[in-house]
Amino acid sequence: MGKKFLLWLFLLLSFFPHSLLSQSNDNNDHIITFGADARSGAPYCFADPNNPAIIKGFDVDIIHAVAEVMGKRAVFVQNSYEGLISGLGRNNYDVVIDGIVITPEHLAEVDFSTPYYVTSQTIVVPDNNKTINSLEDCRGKKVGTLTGSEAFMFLEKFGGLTVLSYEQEVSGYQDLLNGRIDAFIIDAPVAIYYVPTVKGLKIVGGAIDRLMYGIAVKKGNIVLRDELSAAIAIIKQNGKLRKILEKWKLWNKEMAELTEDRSPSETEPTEYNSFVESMNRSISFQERIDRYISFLPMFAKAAWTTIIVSLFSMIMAMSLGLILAIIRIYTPFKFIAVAYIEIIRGTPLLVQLLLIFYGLPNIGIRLDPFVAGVIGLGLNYAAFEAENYRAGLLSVPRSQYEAAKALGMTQWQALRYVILPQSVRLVIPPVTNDFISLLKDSSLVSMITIVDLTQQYNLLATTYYDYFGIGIQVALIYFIIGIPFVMLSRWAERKIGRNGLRRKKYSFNLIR
Amino acid sequence: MQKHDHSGQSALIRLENVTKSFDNTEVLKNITLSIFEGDLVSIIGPSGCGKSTLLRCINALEIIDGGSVRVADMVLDRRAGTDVSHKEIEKRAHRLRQSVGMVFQTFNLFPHKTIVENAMMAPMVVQGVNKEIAREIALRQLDKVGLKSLAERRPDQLSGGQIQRAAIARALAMSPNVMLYDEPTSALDPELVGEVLSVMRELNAEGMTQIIVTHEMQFAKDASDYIVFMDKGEIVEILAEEFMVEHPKDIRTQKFLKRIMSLGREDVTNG
Repeated sequence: MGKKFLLWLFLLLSFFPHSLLSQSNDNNDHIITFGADARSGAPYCFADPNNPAIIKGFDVDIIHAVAEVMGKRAVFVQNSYEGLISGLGRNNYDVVIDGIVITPEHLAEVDFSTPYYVTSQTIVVPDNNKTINSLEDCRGKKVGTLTGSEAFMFLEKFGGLTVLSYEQEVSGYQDLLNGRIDAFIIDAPVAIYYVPTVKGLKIVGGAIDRLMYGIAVKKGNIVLRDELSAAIAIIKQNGKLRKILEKWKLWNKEMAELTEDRSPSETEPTEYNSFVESMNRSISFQERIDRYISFLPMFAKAAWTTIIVSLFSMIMAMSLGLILAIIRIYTPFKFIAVAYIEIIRGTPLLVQLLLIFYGLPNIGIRLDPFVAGVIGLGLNYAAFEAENYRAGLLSVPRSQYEAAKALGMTQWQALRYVILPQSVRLVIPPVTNDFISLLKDSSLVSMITIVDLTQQYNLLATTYYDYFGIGIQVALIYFIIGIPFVMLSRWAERKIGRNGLRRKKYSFNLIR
Repeated sequence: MQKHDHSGQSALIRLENVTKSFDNTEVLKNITLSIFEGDLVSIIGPSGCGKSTLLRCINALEIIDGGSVRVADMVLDRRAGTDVSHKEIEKRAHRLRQSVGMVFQTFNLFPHKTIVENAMMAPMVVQGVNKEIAREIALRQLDKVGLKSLAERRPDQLSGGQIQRAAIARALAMSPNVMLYDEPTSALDPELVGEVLSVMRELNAEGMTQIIVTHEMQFAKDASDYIVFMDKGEIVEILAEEFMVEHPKDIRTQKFLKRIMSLGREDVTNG
């Protein structure tokens, strides 16, 4: 049994996508890795609606131009927006470029290049709104903004209004249309892109605040910071930066002042036009189906990640759970197992995952996202498996243990050869059920930068502004993956119903 | 009664001043008993008299509180002044169990294994015997109890009498010095009792030392070398001759035997 298990594990490992294990341990001098969140949306960094496998955006274009000046090639690393800054400290990538505003708060944690873009905040309101025309008008109203954004802090300081924070601007717009909020305050580039594509919205008021975007590097990495600043200076001077910004329709008077280049625009806003066009084009049913079909390779890859994360987590949960159950029942260190089980069961899985991935680096433990995900899920489910095993082990009558002991077996031999094999059969159905739960709970690893099914759903849904259709698609995929395990569970239940519990005729186990 | 001649022979099993308590109840009070090789000894007495506990103390499923137990050359000595560590006692108890076979009222076969696997397990796990040899040993013992043809069956496919015979074969596979039976036929339908008792008779003929806690008075009278009558944790008397069974000296023995002869077996078990 042990050998078979190892072979199985080996097979799994050999199929395992190694790219997941080492996201950015690239020591190649010609490569500069940049962290960004492809869910940030247009125009920063987003999946191309025409081909969602391609990540594009003005930030992406700028970092490529900067890298080119430096004689390097820029490589994208997906990271959740909130974790972008802390990812630098973890060496997940060399730089961050994703509309990150240079603020005193950010400067405390990272170093910035000189600004590559200057912009402001704008107010977005529904078309039919007449009352809000400035920030002052927002007092007493409900105002939405992005989680962790500059506007969020700004509004908190401004006071007198209720601030709601959103993960995605798309959901903010949705709530604006639904009437859940009165205004949405957001960086001007986002408004420029989405207001024309979401029907029923308009921009009001003038520029609020002054936002300077910089490329962030790990605190103290002066060399890289200065190299980046030098490269930015060059593309400012040679017109490359202006060209990129014009292509994205982002050239503004702040930039004209910064670069002292006040000449009229020459470059067509091709990227802007193609984005707005692709978003406004109403697609036929056939096109929609074709689009969903085109997602399948991406979903297959993401589903594989989900399956692998779940399998490894379950293997860990089952092994650790068994050890915990044995400690709890058969050793004097019961309190350790009890404490573990109660603490793990009494705290949210998401908190545990965030703590392991983002918290542990504070005490010097830096885990790869995949490893952190597996450990987080594995440690969590171990507590539940321990209770399953405990129920199973205790359901084997004490007389079985005595019979083994009377034959000269030690406690451990009795456990290994007599108690455990009998309890395993009883434990199969609840454990399989837990695996189905784990498969679904694995969606939480999308919070720690892993591109699993849920993360892929998020990426595509924000790109196409289609949480409904793609949501149904991804729910179906989860459901299909779960089917074999549902069947396994049914099969195990039937099998035990037949062999395991048919002991009534001669009750071997009456006495405990 | 059939009687072996033990002149000049030293006892195979020797209990000396054995005491055992559960919580604060003294279950065995100063038991001293010698059993010789080849003997078949029946232990009788009312429920709660300590007969099962006595049996369990012989193979150290229960560790005695005082006195000493010796089986062949293995001694578990807990007399005053012998200060042995808990670990050492466990070690000796473990060795003792390996050379003492035990059969339970509730059979306790391993339900996840076939009959032959049940009998193979202890030789393989405890003695490190390889699979082929263990199988050979197991089949030889199953043959002895008449179950060789059912070797590949699982316990739930057998009758109660067959299961108990398989349990005997499983214990025999460890080549024990002595076999202990704790009410081996009490959980069986009456028509299945005979096949189990006849296996024990055959083993006696082969010279196996056997101790049986039982309510089968007829069997005890016919097959035993002697009958030990216990009450309230003490050995009241040892009935070594036929006439002693008919005319016990002690009033408690008289009462018990009168009851057991007049009532059905079941009632005594339950009372």
